[in-house]
Amino acid sequence: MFKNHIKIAFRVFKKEKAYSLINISGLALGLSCCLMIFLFIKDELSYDKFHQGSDRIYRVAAAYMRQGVWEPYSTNSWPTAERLKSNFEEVEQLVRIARMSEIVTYGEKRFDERRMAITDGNFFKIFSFPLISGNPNEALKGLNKVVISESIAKKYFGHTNAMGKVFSVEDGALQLQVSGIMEDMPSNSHFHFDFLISQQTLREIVPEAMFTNVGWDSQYVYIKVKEGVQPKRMEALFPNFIDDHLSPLTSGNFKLFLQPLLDIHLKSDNGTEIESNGNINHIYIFSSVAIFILIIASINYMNLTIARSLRRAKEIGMRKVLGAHKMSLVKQFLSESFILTLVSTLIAFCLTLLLLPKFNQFASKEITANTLLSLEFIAVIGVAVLIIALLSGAYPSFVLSNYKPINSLKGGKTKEGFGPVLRKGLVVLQFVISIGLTASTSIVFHQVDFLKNKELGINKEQLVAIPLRTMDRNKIDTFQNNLLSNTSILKAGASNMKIPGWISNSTNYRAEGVPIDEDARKSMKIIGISRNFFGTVEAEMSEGRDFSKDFSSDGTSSIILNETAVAQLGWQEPIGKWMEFDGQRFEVVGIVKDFHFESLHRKIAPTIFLPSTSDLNWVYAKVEPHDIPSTLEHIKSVYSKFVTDREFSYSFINEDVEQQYRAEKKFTEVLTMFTILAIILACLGTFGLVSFSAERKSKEIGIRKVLGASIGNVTFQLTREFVVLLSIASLIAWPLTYFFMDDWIKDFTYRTNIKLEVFAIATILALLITMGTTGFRALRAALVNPVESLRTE
Amino acid sequence: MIQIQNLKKSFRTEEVETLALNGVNLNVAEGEFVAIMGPSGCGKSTLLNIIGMLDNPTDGSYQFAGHEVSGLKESQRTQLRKGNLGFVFQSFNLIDELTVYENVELPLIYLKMNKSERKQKVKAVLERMKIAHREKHFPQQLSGGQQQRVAISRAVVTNPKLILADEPTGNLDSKNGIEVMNLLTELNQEGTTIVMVTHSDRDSHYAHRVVNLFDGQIVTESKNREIGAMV
Repeated sequence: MFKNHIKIAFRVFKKEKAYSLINISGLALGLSCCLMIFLFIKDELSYDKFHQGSDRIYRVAAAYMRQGVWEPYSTNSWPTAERLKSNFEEVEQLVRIARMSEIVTYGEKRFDERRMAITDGNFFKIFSFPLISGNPNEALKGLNKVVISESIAKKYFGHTNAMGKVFSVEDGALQLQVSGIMEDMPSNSHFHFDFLISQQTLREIVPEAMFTNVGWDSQYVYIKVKEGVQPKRMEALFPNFIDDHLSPLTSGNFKLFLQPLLDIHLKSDNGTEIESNGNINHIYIFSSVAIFILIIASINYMNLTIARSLRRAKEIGMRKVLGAHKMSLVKQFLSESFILTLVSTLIAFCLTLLLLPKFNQFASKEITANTLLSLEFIAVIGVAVLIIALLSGAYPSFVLSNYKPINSLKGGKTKEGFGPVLRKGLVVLQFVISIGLTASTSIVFHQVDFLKNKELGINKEQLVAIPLRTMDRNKIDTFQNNLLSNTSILKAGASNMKIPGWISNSTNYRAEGVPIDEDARKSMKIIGISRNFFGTVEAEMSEGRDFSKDFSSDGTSSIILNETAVAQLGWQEPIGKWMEFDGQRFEVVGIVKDFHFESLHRKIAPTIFLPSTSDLNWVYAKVEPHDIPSTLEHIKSVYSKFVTDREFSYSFINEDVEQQYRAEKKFTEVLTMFTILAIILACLGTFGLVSFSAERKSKEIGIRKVLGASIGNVTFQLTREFVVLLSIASLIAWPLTYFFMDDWIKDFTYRTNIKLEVFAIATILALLITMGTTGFRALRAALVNPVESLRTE
Repeated sequence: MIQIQNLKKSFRTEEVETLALNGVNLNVAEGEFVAIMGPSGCGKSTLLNIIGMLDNPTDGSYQFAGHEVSGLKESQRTQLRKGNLGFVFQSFNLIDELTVYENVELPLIYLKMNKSERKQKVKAVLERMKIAHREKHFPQQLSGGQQQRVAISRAVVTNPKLILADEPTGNLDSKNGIEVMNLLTELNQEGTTIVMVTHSDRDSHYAHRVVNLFDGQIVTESKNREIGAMV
């Protein structure tokens, strides 16, 4: 019997080529899309799971109270780590990691290496990165030892054995000996290093203060707790630990918390992440999109199958007359559904394999075909095939098997039970999803556009940022003057932090006329700048004056505040007032209009600008827009006179600003792709449904045409229903989308308003696409000679 | 009114070409009642469909009220059909989703007649066909005879010059069949031309003239009575 079902199923597919093609391609496309989303999610959820006992590994993160809000950071100080280790017996292992980047020299080879870390000897006791050579327990013990990645070993030493080889760092200041070679860290690790340098070496290169200062946050601290330890209980002990061991920090202005290793990639967004992380919200959104797409694809299948059924009514009637039971017919249709889903899945599988490299490129992933071909994955797909086949096949099976043989044989009308309501409901659901996705995508798009184009309060165009790195800070003025010797460089200024970036320095203060108890818990960000900084970035002064060489006090006791700082202090006339911090009194000489030093993800913080010469790290050069390459060449040649041990590097501020919204941009791109796909699938669905209507109403169309209906009349008749359904869907989709997207956009510090036209455009777009799809099919039905449709009589 | 010369119609399937009409010549004068008879598959319905402008001939000439119809496009045929032609089918072909009133009103809507005028015409024709009391019913709620009255009402509501009837009594019992034939005769006497396809000898006697078709050709023609004479 089953063989017979399969035979019939294949004959049906062959006979109804167009329907089968739409059905299979729609389902395959939807499934392929879901497979890719599934791979993406699986990869995102797999981060750091490969470490043995990963559920017992935590990162000890810190948070500082700033302006009444806890600001979280991923880093901690050396002494904090030391004291944690000695005070908590719950800790089985503790590892510190400090990032660094240096020029590495081996013979003639010289590279600027960014993925370097100094770490403890027990690194491999927490993190399970396999070593190809060397002993994991010994490799990072001792002075000047380094474990390198396989790629680095190849890069520097080719095919010769790298073990024991020595290369120099910091132009010979350090000689590091290769004590181990590890496999490259996998892409699903939340950090990637190519050089792991032994902790003892650190003492050679950093000042002693780093080992005692609890405010020097340079260490990522990871712990592996003993079996059965409750992290919550441990966290509860931290406030007392801070008060007892980390003075001058107090539990009122500083706290420690544990981040499960497995949560870091998707849930952590601290001030000092090692690498940029993923976003759990994106996982939720993409999962929903995958489910939506699957729903749309399944609905299409159901609608198309029911539509097709009319052509098979006679077959069903005849089978019943010949003794077929209802169940055997159900089995027949379920077999067809199963075969079709299976064929679609196979195509989807091949399509996904084919598109995987493109997808990896698009989603910045390194997913291999092995994942797709893994037993676990195939098992999941097998279950999915069964579910889809059952879900999409069940309803048509029961409807078709319920046909009364007498009606079917006469070719008369077959009752559909609650079919029409369900079918219309499904179409409304498809429209809701399509309109919702379209509106959501355009809201995301508007928000990213808003972030990209928001006025920052400075002029970010043709502004080049140059890191000073090892430049002698006393020569910054000379460096800037040399730059300005070229007429293509209009202005130059410097600061100790980069725009756009994160202002890591902050200070508590006292201020004139502000009661001590009121500002005791408040602090301000503090940025060191050169005299000509504001002029270079074109930030405007709103009151007072900019720093100037004409005022000798500008080197010692003058400060400039931003407007937010003045607002925090509640001053009406700020010029001439004093502030005290770092044990010194300063006079406010000017107020600069608020501008975004940090990214738009952060609110403009109350900020003190302090004139500085020795503590500057970045020089900004405003360049003429024409012939930028030769201007950059000039900057490079000047730079190389001042910095000999580092490669010249630069970036354009406008590009850096755009780079900050890369995650949102990528998110928009991915969402747009899936939205287009969902719309294509929904189109297939409406096409199927209008085919169904046309099929079902072929007699009515014939009669109407005989009675004088024009092609336009008939087309309108067939498409009218979809316009009504689309209107209902809009009523549902608009508030739903608003609700979800309002929640999403609230996470942004600076955001655009959700405009009504976004929804209107989504509906109009859906309407146009629907009219296009249904109109085409309806027109075809309308063009049929009425004799054809009446001939059955 | 109808002048058909050497009309041919062939149907092509994947493998065979069937000649349904093979050189038919037929003239129907205004006010005439013509019955087309013949065995199944002889081309009766095909001829009626072409006369009704539902289908185009493959070859030959068909003039309706002086207009050459063969070769016209679908939209042109629709225009010519509107208001000029009424159809009565064996299986009534009423639209199940519309009430009796709405079914009869449909051709008037397509003629873009205003609502009050439509109402007046529909009411009048339903009264005349003695089916007005059923105007709010749906086709499935009526007997076969009543459904055919509705179909005839719908066919005549536009005052067409020509009514084409395809086995109008085929699905009816003899009592209802006679009633329907009387209605058609009445309409004919009021000046409407009627061309009817039938299997029934009894029905054919209502016509002025009987045309016999065999294998796509007219084989005999016989006159029953003069135009205007009662049976």
